[in-house]
Amino acid sequence: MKKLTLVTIFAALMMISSAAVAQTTASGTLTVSATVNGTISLVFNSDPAGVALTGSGSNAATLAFGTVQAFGGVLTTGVTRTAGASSFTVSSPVDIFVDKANVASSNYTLKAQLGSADAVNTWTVGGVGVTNGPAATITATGAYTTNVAETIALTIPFSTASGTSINNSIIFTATAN
Amino acid sequence: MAFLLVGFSLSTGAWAQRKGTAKRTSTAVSMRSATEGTISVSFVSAPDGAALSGGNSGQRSLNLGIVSNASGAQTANVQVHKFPGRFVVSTKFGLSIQDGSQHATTATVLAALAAPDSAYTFRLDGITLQTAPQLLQGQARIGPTFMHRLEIDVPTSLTEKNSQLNNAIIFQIIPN
Repeated sequence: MKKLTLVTIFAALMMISSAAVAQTTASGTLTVSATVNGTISLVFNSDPAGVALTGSGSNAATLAFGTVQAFGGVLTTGVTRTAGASSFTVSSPVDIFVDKANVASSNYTLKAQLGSADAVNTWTVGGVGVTNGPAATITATGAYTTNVAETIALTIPFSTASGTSINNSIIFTATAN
Repeated sequence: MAFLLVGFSLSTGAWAQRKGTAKRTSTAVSMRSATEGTISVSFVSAPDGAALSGGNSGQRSLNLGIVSNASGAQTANVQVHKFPGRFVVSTKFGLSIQDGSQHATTATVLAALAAPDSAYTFRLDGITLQTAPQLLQGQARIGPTFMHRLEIDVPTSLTEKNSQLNNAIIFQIIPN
């Protein structure tokens, strides 16, 4: 009898409480989904020993060597000059910073090519010649999340007329390995 | 109110222990029946938020689409903000509470993650969500639709293995 009474009370409590709670609470569910894609990004930073870039910290920077000559004169801060037998070279280190996110890659391959042909002058990046032909491999084991200094050098023949303006672009492509 | 909530806790526990019996099935039906026509919650797309889809008004889906640290979001009204070591995906959605009985004017809104997530951090209006319900609003007005901001922290250290983000946010509404 005592057991029956307890069961009855419990059942009544269940009914009362269930109904009461059903009237006083509600719930809703918002399902959330997304797909995270792995990416890498590249920016140019001014190297402390090189020319101050315009647009440093972005992926579209400008390196201005300024007015250059084979001998004498005043060079833009950060420009290094070497003169050869028939040409001279101006150069500056540029920091390349490649960041990664959500990829398991441990390093990257960096390639470079000129934006337009230059039949007169010679361009190198990190000692590797670059043209507007197939992109040249600058490094196959680039380190992420650190500034990697690559020296950009432009070699100009002595035969170049004074006052000649030289403009080009170098397209860098980093690919996660 | 407090007594009734305690009673609910007791009865739910008892049902869970014995839900195989016909008697418990009857109790469950009673709960469903009582729920209808009373307080309810619904989700709506925010004008400046990602579009909700599917389900009834209280069971919606929010697909944020493809997101990445470098390229941002590809879905309209989904934002990506970059921080060192992580990026945050965010959007807005609307939530409204209706009370058919019209007994209450405000309600307490709690939110919880349906499943634990060690990879991503979910925040609603700045409140970090867990599997235990968190207080989202203590005095939410019943009737109007209020906008909420969902933010998800995505560590950049996550790789392709964790590229799929799937979870659900369970809202519990308790009239004050």
